[in-house]
Amino acid sequence: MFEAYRTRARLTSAERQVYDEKIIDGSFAPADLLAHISTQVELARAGQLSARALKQATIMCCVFAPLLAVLGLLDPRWLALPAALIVLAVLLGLARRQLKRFELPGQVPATAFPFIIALKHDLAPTEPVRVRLELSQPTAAAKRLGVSEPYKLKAYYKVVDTTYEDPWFEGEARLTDGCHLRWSVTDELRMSVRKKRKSRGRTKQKTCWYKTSQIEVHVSFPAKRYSVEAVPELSGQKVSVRQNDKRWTVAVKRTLKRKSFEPLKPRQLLDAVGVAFRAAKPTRRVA
Amino acid sequence: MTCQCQAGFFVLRTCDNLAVLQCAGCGRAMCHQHAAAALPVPRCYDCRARREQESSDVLVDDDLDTSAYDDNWAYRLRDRYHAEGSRYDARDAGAFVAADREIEDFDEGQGGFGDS
Repeated sequence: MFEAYRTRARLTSAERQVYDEKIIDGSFAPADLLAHISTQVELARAGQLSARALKQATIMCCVFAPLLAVLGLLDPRWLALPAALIVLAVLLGLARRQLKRFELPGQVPATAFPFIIALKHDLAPTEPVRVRLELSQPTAAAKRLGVSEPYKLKAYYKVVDTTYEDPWFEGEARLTDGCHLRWSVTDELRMSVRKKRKSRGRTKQKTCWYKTSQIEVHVSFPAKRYSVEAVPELSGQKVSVRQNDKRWTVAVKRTLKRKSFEPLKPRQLLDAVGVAFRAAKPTRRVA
Repeated sequence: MTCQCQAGFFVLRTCDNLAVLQCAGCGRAMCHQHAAAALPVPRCYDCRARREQESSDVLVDDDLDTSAYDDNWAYRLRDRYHAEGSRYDARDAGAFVAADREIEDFDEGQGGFGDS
């Protein structure tokens, strides 16, 4: 039940700072960055386990309190027990709310972590990666852009949309072949709460999520080693190529839309980087 | 003798490490870094990636499970990336576009309804 707090107590000061500030921001060697993310994932997992245990204990209290209350009707001395269980259930509920602090958005383990795993193969082991990775929830109050006025939409008599902007992942790295990679991912979320009336005056409510992910990738190639070809345009994707005396720069912008809260798949982010690399052809073998 | 496997994900390059093993699949000399772990016979990651027909999109029950994302996964994805090219297409971008489709989808009985 207290695994989350035990795990938190074991954190180093740097890890504790990341946990408190809910952000990984700085330059790290790839292995250190992965270790940082893993620690936060482990902490979130411990929080999840603790929350589960507290939930079970709360349910037990809620089941036994009425049973003991029946006994209390027979003998008033038993009434103290159900009252204590109700108080305990409330305290456990409050403790569970505190564990929300341990939660981690799904995109950290499901997108950012595998992206770094793949990217590290193109990085020198000691070459730092500059990263800014948000660990706070996409629906945190600070990320809220606004709430719409209630409106009607066909069968729904009341629809309220709340929009969030979450620039959760950005970074840059110098790859082993001299290329410079910069990426950023910003999610725009729309939470649509819709209510409609059913038969016998009942009301049904549904919450829908709409997520638009903007991926921006810039790869700068040394002109001595690479030449860049034109990239075919695709719907939802913009590719631009710039050149100066020393470097080619390929910029890829993608928009991915989906009707769920699910995080991006790692290959969707890696594919955007791949588009830039596919545009470039090596002109000289890297030593 | 140096390792004959290729390093890198987007940009493949020769590995300069000293070879200490030979891959049972392709016969290439390989270093410890390119030898896939937990196999009865030494194999390089490329051979293992080709043998494994698993998807590179890892399915995990637990949202916080990162154990499936390791070097094996990265080499599988690399193998596909260099073999197939980008699998991103217009469908990825246009998963939903028209607002008038929303109502149809709402009435499909997907989860999320609850009495209030």
